[in-house]
Amino acid sequence: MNAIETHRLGKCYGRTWALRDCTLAIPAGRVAALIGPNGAGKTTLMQLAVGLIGQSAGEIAVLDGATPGTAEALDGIAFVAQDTPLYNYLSVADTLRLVSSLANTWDEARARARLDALSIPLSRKVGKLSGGQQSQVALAVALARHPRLLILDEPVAELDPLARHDFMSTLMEAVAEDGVSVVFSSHVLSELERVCDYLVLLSRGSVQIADGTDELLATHRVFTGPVEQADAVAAALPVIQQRRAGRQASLLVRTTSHPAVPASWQDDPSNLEEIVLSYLRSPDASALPGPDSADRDIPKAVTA
Amino acid sequence: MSIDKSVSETGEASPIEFRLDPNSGVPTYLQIVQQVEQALRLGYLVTGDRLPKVKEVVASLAINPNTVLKAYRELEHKGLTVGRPGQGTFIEGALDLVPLKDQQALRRGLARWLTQATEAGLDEEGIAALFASALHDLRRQERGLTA
Amino acid sequence: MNATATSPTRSRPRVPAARGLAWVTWRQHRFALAGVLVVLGGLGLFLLFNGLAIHHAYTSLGLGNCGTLGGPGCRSQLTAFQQDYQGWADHLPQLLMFLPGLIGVFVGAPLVARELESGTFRFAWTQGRSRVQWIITKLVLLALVLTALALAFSALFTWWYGPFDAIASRMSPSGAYETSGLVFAARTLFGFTLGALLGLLIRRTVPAMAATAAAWAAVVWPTLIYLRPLIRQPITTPGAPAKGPASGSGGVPINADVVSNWIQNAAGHHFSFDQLFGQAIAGNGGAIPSPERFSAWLTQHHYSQWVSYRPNDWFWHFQTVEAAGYAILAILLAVATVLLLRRRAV
Repeated sequence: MNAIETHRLGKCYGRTWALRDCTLAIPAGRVAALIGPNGAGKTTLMQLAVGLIGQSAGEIAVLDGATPGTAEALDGIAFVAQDTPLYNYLSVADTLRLVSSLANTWDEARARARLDALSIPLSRKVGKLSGGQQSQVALAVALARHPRLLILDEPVAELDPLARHDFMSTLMEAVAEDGVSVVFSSHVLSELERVCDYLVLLSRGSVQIADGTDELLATHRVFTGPVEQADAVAAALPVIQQRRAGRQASLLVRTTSHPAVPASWQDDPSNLEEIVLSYLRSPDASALPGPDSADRDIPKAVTA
Repeated sequence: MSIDKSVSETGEASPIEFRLDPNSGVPTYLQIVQQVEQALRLGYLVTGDRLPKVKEVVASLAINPNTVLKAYRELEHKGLTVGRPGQGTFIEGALDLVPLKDQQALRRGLARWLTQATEAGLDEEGIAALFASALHDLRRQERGLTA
Repeated sequence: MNATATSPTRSRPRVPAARGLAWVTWRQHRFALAGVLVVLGGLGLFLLFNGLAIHHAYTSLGLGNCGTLGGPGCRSQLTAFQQDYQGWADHLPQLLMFLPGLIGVFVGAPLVARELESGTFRFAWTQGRSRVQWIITKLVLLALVLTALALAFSALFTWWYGPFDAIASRMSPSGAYETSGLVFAARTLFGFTLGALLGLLIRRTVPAMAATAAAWAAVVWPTLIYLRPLIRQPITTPGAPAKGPASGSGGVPINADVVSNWIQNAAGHHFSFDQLFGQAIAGNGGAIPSPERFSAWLTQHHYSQWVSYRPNDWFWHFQTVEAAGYAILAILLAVATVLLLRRRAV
């Protein structure tokens, strides 16, 4: 079961490739974070998945084999676009009615309960709500459709910390209730660890990491030791990134075991932020399970 | 639709509430496990108590439900809790504590060592670093033995 | 996925697709439609009251039963009527003919452009209905409503213009022809779909409105001048056009649309009126000849007067052909809009 599956997917605007050779499989039932610097192709990938744009190359399937933009895909996917575009001139109640008029599945009680809990008045014009409230309206509307897959483009980028927490809490609650698959993009690395359990790292239009967070944490370790031994140690291990100071060197290594290193070397677990930053600094490294092996336990180590 | 309406609906308030320290470096699920263990040690949790429902934890902490499930599985695996389908997760056992007398003896030994270390000129950070390093070596040895 | 997940009660398909989209169309465009209704309704009310006065004057002057309008029995009444009301018949249609373009500018152009400009298309096109269904419903429903409103307005205008029918042409360009019959509604439809397509291409509301106004005028204006001879060549006959409340010589009806008139010699060469009038003055000993003497002078020198005109009873033939042309154009634009929207990259 894959929420989104792509094979050599590409999209070019004019002569610029916004996304290129993107092959990945995001398993269903996960909360996947799509991260990467601005312009990495995150929005492009999401818009391809919801069928707002068509690909220039390769293939993409959503909800286990459906083509984006078809009735089945449109029905099963809810999308909250960047800056949550809503009709400012509609009241919250009319926004609900609008979506209920368009959607095949609609849970009015759920939408109203959420908005009620957040004290968002139904009679207020959407344009008069705060940014956080608008995001909550967009999310409430999306969840009331009981989607199988929820795609959110930079949902919390513009929100203050409290609104961000409230938004994520609503989202995670829905995951607990419905088991909805979530794919959201973000360029904020912190807070990722507690929310997502799958990570896709895009940089410069291609995929660098696509793996579960537990798997990533289990397969990446940091080795710290004297700088003069660094070359020898690095030669024997699949090193993603090295950092060397005067006496001490630290290596981020992709490995599934505890390799033998000189006794003076310390072997510590890494964290997601460190892993992501290391890959971003080493654009040629990648950690990809490939589309056919999305359910495998141990990823192959691929390094530069 | 049927939402389990957290605490108020079931009538019983959760005995504890979890909190997270994002900067601790300890994985989120482990923080939950440790907080349950701590609450057991301190008597905030006793046998028969119901842990907060996954949905409640998720809503209050804004974390991935799988993380909570993982923590609860870990607690069950440790024999501290038992999951009853449709009802929740309940405290079952007590922590496998080192007997109080042994604890006191160990503590006295540690206090003696700390005095020696201070007399030798180590400050608090030095003591902590030394302790961490020794613990690390111990773990390595254990791994070496099991491997 | 997890133990505590409660299965949601999924509601069955609620509103039938077409009805849901119809509500969306109504809710989003009711202000634009209300604007059209206010403008057409306001002008319609004016036409109604003004028309009642005109009809009343026509009847009370006895123009309906004084014999031939051009004849001597009607002359004074007709002059009185024309003094009071001919100005309306001459000038009001010249303003009303732009209404279809305005409807295209204010309803058609923002239809897609506004969604693209504000980014709301990402919201609208991802809620379960495909954007193809979305655009087809909007185009069809709004086109039906606008066409119906335009036809009603045309009908009211035709009634208003009724008293002038016998004395003024319904065929002359930029006159009553443009607001009566089918052409007014067909141009409304054309303006609307033109606006929709340009909005999709330009993606910004105000520039799309300006482009719609320009493109609408650029299509409509040439048809006033160049299209009609292609539908049917005007009748050419010897004689002079009617002047004043009298039937023209040579059987040209008083209410015909005179396309041109000229003077030619036996060999068929055309001459300007001024040129020959100068010669006639010289032949008259330097004095200005009376119209009768000038006519006699022309006949004497083997010149003849000619006129080409379109009679009023060609009206429906012209209207049908032209309206069909605009309707086909409108359908092509609508199809292009749907196809482009389907495959466009946003």
